[in-house]
Amino acid sequence: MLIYYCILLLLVCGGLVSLVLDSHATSLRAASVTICAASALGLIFTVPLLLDGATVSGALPLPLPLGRCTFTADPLSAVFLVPVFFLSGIGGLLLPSRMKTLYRGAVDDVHYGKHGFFCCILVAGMLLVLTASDAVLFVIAWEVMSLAPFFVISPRDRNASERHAAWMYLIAAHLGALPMLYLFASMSVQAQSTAFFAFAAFSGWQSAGLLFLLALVGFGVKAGLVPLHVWMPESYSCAPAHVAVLLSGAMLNLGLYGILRVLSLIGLGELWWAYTLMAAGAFSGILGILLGLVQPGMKRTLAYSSSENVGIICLALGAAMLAVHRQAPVAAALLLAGMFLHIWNHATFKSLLFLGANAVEESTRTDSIRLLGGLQKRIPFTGGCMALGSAAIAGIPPLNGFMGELLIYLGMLVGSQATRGTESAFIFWGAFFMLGTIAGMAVFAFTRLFGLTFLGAPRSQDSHEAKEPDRLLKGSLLCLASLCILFSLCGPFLYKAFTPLFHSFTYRLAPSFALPDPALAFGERVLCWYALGGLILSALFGLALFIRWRAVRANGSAEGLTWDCGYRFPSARIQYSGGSFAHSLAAMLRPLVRARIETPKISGLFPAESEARTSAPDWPTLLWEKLIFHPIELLSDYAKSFQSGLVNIYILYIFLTLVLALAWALGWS
Amino acid sequence: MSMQALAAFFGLLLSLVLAPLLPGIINRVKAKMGGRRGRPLLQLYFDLAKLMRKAPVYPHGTSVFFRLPGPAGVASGVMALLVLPFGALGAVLAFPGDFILLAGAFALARFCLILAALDTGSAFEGMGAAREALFSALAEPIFLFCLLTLSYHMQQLSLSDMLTGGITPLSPRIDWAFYPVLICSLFLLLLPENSRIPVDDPNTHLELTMIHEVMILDHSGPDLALLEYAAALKLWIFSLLIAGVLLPTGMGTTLFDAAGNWAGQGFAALFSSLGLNLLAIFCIAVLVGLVESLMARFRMERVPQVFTVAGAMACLAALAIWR
Repeated sequence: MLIYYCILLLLVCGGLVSLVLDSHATSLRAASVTICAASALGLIFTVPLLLDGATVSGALPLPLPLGRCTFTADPLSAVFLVPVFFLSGIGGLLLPSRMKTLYRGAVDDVHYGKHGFFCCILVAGMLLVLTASDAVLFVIAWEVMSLAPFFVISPRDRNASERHAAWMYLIAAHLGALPMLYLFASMSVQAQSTAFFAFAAFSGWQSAGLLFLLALVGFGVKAGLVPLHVWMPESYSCAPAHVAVLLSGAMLNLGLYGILRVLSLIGLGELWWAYTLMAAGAFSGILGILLGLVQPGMKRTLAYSSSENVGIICLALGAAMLAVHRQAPVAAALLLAGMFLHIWNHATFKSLLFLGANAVEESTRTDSIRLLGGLQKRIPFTGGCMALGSAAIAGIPPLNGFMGELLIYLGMLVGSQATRGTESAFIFWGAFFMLGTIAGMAVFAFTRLFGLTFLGAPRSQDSHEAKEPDRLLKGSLLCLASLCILFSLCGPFLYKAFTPLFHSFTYRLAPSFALPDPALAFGERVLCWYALGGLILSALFGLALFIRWRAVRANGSAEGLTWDCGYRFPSARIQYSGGSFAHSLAAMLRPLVRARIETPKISGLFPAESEARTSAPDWPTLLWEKLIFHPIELLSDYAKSFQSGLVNIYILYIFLTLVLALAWALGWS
Repeated sequence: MSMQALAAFFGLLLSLVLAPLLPGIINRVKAKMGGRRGRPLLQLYFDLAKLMRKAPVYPHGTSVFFRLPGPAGVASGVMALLVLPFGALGAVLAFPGDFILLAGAFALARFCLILAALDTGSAFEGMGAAREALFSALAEPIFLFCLLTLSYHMQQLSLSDMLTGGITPLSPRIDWAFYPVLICSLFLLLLPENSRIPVDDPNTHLELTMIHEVMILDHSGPDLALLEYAAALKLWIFSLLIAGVLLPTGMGTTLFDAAGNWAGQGFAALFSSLGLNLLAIFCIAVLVGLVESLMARFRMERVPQVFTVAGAMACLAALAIWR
């Protein structure tokens, strides 16, 4: 546990040092070294925890606002801590170079300190959230972690959209914290304690369904479940590369951690919890990917795809809970394994894609699909990594994205066979179909994302200016890309490492439910086969490539024009654009996408120049505005009329209030 | 190597060799229906041999992604054939969830093909790529769902056991409803997945109406040969799958005895199984040819209706075996 306190202390001290050095370049280096050292120490601390399935805890008696702080790192924390530390390490490594790129050309108003400090605090906050085993400490840590991104999302506050993103994040984070506060307050009152172990020991939860819903909503905001995702596209699309990695790879998972933690404290609950989770997951998955594939920017597409992946994870979690309800151990083991593997997989390929997209944006100064194109020829290294990441996230074998999905598919299938003839079989089928739909649309979204930006001809001058990023960023890309391949080969090992977690988590969910060893061995066998199948597929691919290469070498080859109906002078503008690629699907599912097409009315014999526009506004955001923010605004406007500025009126208000208060007090007593 | 594995490899080899025959059969049927003599049955073999010896022409500005779809298509086809049993010969590999890997292998081929089409920077190929992405996004869940119902019905998790397993179905009373409906659904998926009329037209040269053909418009030489071969393999795989569903149970039981040697009527069983499967596959090819001769291509906006019907059929199949 000592090492744990060292990490926390290191992060706070390093952050402070960075804050003090402020505009000096060493400020960034201090933050970077701190975060890297903390994540190295953190990996040393957590990886053995995960492998052994051990639980360590410690307590610090502190003065009252905090009280006695208890920290516990159990397998459930460890499975989230490992990606947090790993990605923090990458983020910390990239921090100085990214910030320097961001401040390139800036002479005065160079302030590194704030950014470095809050990056350290963000990592420390995540660490605290994952290890807090006391409701008060958890809520405080959650607030710390939630506040820090507000300061790091837009280091330079360059324009209105960046500020808007930061504000939106802050509002969403706070609204999300509200249900969570109520949840923990209610739990503490019922269990007569704020300690998590007291929660775990307590069993007679009243209105447990409400607690579950509060957790789903409160943590769902952080996880980005549609329609609570509203902050994600905004903040992910303006955050610099290292922050995007921290947010999308690491912090996003903490929302899932919250849901899992609350479930492990209040237990399995009723059947409708599982249904709710599955419905929320399917809804988030389908809407996330649908909204993602009509977005004009790469990073916005990636942000929506985070919602999609969180949806898949919730779908798997709900199905696993259903399997536990129905006493189907094999299905439960497969679904839980698929879920946890998908959490890790998503952390790797999403970070990889965000890094790649940011690398492109740094040199071309745009991430709009409409303006890019043909980058593969200019930046083959980044392109190769992005292609790999896109294939992984689209669920293409033999990469890691398909591995988690394979287990989830199979878990649903086994679950339906185990519940043959009951309505649960139907539910499993429905979930299976939903997952298939999401996976199919993911291929659509990511062929669009990669194909239109990296392939074809450059659509604008900006994309001619693409350059390979610096060596550090290249190294990070390579590292994450090789993890995408490595995970798919090491599936059985990861499964072995997660096994203690499956036992402890299902025990917490339902103590009477046991995961026998044969049930666990089945998943491992599937992963072994998947690794073998992936190797065979790669070997076949290599062999076919070799045959092609030999034939081409023997025959020679030539270059010619692209065939365009005999038209000899094609330009880059005739290519399919992001909007036209997505149009067919967006038009088919118009009620869900709600893309807007504004076509001008042409009238008269000599019409003036006019243009058509397509846009895809985030309709959940508009919906929230209409439902909540607009009424509040109206109310505030109405309240303004009370504020006349005349002192005598104010004295009248005070007098009236006093009279009312007196009357109420008299009547009440 | 055991006799089973040897037989399975023989089946794989047979599939690889016979696959280019199917487009020939379809073309012959179409020609006969149109009152023509038609191309030779083995035309695709000649084409492939010729294309492999030609020098490819690459459009300006294409990258390495333009070269990938042919090899990816062939690799995914072979991967699918590794897990798909050829009647009584069985499959080379069989493991839980292999049918999901089969769908995944097709996704790999499709991913590479769409990227290659986008790599040319041509408006037509972009259009084809967008259509392919859309229709495959619709087809994939239905295809997986069909295999899910089959797996549920046979209570097996691998394709070999699902198609050739000796387990008798649980409730034979309603079997008659399950298999025909499932086969209809799979056949309706075969047509769009293999770019056949009424969804796509493999013969037309009007780019605006095509999906698959337009995506490979710029490929030539060995690349085109591999792509054509991959398309033939995919058609063969779908036909073999349908044949496997059509001739479901008991085929594998008499081929080998418990020790893995030839059973008494080994050869008889082998030939009857092989013959029946091949017959079924060729019948499916004839059926595809008949559909192509008798129907016109749908307008693009009507294509999703094909998937709707296929999905409805799959749901009916699921309902038939629910209990």
